[in-house]
Amino acid sequence: MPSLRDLERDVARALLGEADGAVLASILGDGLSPAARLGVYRNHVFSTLTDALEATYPVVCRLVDPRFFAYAVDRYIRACPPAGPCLFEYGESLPEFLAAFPPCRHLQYLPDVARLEWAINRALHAEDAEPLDPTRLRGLSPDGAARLALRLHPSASFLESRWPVDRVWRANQPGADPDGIVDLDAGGVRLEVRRLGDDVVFRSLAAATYAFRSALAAGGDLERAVEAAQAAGPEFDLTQTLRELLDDGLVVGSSAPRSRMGATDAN
Amino acid sequence: MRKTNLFIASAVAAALTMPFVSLAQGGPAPKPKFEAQKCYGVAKAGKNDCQTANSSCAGTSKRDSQGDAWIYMPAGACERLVGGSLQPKRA
Repeated sequence: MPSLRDLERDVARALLGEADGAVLASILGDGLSPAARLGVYRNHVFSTLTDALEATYPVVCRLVDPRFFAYAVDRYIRACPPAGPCLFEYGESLPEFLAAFPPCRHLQYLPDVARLEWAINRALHAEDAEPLDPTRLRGLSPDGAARLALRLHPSASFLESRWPVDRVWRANQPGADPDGIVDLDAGGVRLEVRRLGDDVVFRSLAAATYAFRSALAAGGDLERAVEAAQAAGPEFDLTQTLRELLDDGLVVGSSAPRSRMGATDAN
Repeated sequence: MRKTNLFIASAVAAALTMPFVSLAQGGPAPKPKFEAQKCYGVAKAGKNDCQTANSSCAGTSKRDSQGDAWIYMPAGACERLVGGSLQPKRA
């Protein structure tokens, strides 16, 4: 008699395609053979996960055709099964999988389109957060300001691509001009994706603004974000950029150094 | 004290001196906080929040208003809907 833990592990493996005699011996067929009974569950797992991935990646599915998509995600589900029960959380690593999947490796823009769709999915389901009251940033010492980390809205993410993935995405929405042509050589984009109210929105940012915001999103302090922005564009205006960030309601918290006046700073 | 730090601090101060007009519209709407109840029999096909007697996942009910599929609704709203029930009905 296997332990429950062993049984669950064996059933999970069997569902992903590696059925063996031991697990079949534990299954009551109830009118079907144990293998056929297991097949009912396997079919359900694959059709549910395929539907979930298609819902998260509709543009990728459209670009490669639903039949190819079903084939690719069948391989993906076997290689990277879900780690948790929530369907909307499944599929984060699909872009990397597609980038390395030989049958579509020549579609170089495809993984970045998938990354954009994942960012949209992530933004849609991110928790809510209230914008920071900007007056709380008053009275910082020079060291305190440089080491200030601004926490951005949980729905916000930043995505850079060599390809115009925003245009690819728009051209593949329901109701888009069917004769519209996207020039893949039109140049890359730097996108900010976030939720605004109940809608997910994205827009392209100038190089310096993108560098500034994505450095903050990665947890960098103001000094680091300023360095990144100055490296990206010499005309960078910190006051203006900071002000736009606050006006966009994207800052939801700050971790100022403990000593606001910098008097007892050990670093 | 580094020159950059002074530059950053003065930019922060300058950014904060301008009046904040757009912030009220810029932020997300406050999350509604309501008491939720499970309401059976009113979910559109595929939009249920639960498992049902014959399917195992959210989003899998096969037809509109399936009696054993429920969605979360604000407390008190379910009884006012045609077909809404706080108990599962025959599918």
